[in-house]
Amino acid sequence: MSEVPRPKQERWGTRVGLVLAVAGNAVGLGNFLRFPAQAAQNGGGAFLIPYLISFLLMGLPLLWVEWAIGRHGGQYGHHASPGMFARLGRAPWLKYVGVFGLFTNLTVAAYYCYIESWTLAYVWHSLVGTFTGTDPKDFFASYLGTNEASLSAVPREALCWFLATLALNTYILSRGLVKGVELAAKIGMPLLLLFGAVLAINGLGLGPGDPGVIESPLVGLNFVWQPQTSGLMNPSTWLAAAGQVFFTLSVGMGSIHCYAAYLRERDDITLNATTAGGVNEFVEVILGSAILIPIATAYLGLNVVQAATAGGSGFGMAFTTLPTLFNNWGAFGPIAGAMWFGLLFFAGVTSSLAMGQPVVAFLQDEFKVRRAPAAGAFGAATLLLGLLCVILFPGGAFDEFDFWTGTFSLIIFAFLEVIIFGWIFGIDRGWAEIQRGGDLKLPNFFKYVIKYVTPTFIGVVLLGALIKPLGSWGDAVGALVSTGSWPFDPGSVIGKLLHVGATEGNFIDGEITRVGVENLSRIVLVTVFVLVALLVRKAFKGRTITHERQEGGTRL
Amino acid sequence: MTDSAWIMLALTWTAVGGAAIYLVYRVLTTPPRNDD
Repeated sequence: MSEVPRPKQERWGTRVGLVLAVAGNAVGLGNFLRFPAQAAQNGGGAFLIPYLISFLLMGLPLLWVEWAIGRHGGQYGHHASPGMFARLGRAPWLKYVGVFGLFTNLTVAAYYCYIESWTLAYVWHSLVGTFTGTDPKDFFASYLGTNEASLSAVPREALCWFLATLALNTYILSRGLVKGVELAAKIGMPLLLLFGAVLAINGLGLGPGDPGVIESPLVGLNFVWQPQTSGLMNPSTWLAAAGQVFFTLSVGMGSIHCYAAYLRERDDITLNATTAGGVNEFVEVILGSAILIPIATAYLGLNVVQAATAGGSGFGMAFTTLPTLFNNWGAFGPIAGAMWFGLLFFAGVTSSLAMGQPVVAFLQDEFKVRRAPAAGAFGAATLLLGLLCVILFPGGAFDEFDFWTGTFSLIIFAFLEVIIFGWIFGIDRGWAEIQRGGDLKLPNFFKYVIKYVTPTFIGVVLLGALIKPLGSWGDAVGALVSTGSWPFDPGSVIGKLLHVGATEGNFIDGEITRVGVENLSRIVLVTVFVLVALLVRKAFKGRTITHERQEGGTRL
Repeated sequence: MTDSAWIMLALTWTAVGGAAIYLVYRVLTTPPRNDD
């Protein structure tokens, strides 16, 4: 690693660029594919009540906390979470909590960039008319290599697009904060909003006389928004709403901390953070509910859409159904397809860049690596980990990464950071840190929310993830009382750890099984976590944590 | 669409959309502080 002096700290070029970059980090594929399905399956319009309450009591406070930790750490020259957490108290273990902020970004990027590459491939295939002659379901299976009985595959086209996506991410990151990340957000976010608005207006404007339309798109909109108040009494609805808020804001990753670290000591964070969250909600609640389900309902009917979203995700519909439906839009069809997947690509790339920047910054800050090699190191690590997800996609490696890093790790990190911020750094210092330089005056009430309510909220989400039962919570409690055993859902953390429902071992006749792929993925993830922790240990070994702040750059 | 779905949609879109537009307006119109 080459030692280079850093003459001055990098800073954001403009305030709008910063807000767009953070909003772009939050706006992801889940805004368009997960939110509408989650809402429809968990009380419809009534879902928005626990959703908005969770946003106010958990989402927004977490955003402020992460911005404050980031800006505070940035004043000491740290742009990645290990150094930031080391500055929150005197305990040496604090820096290891920050390991989550590198581990999660690295491992989520591995499979997230793969999904991102699908959207890029689908833009191309939409434009060249692939879906006019090929069933997207067959295409998708062939593209991913899931059309064979094997648990592994080497899908050549998917690999090429994955490499291209990684190269693009690496190139943008190597250009730096202003010329890379900020510029990408300034281009990507307006285009995303434009494409979303065009598709929503076209989709909601479909009528009975249009070719292929069998139902009004408003029936689909009604499916998302019809309030079923009985859902409010169901704990699953509240857990689903809190979970959706958590994941849509990209909290618990370490990327918001990193972006906020490029601010100066008295730059605003209250207005910036709240606006970034607000833009994400605008995209999710308005655009997210107005495209996928209404258009699919118009062409397929409500029953098909209800069945397709029963699992709480519109992921399959996005790639296997919508490409064909756009064929009904005549000459505009290929463009509409390109806009749909282009929108998803911009949502994806602005998020994956936010995953790369903390890793690049860590290598720059703590090992004095130049920006371009640091970006290259991120690209190489993502490629290595991503290959596992690509090749073992049919065996479930991708899903395993998504669960442990894209779900569980986020909740753990967010839970720890809000406890450390409120109870170790201290809520009085923390509240002052959040408010300093703020252009938006926050009610003092939130000081107590951050200390007591937000950790409780996340704790409940964590508990729900750990012991989510098979069937309803009421039935599970009944089973516990009558039989003494808890019926773990195979998708709960404990259910996953115990491989609930699986009857096979790691190998059958020398061939790896699905359980074997899951265990192999877990071993890889634990190894990555340990390696990152060792890197953090090496970075801080023998170093005295001083309180000398760094300054420089221009105010936003 | 049923009346209750329309009401829920209108209330939420107005609240979320209104808040987002107001916040973006504040970001665009708040001048940088020069108190170094």
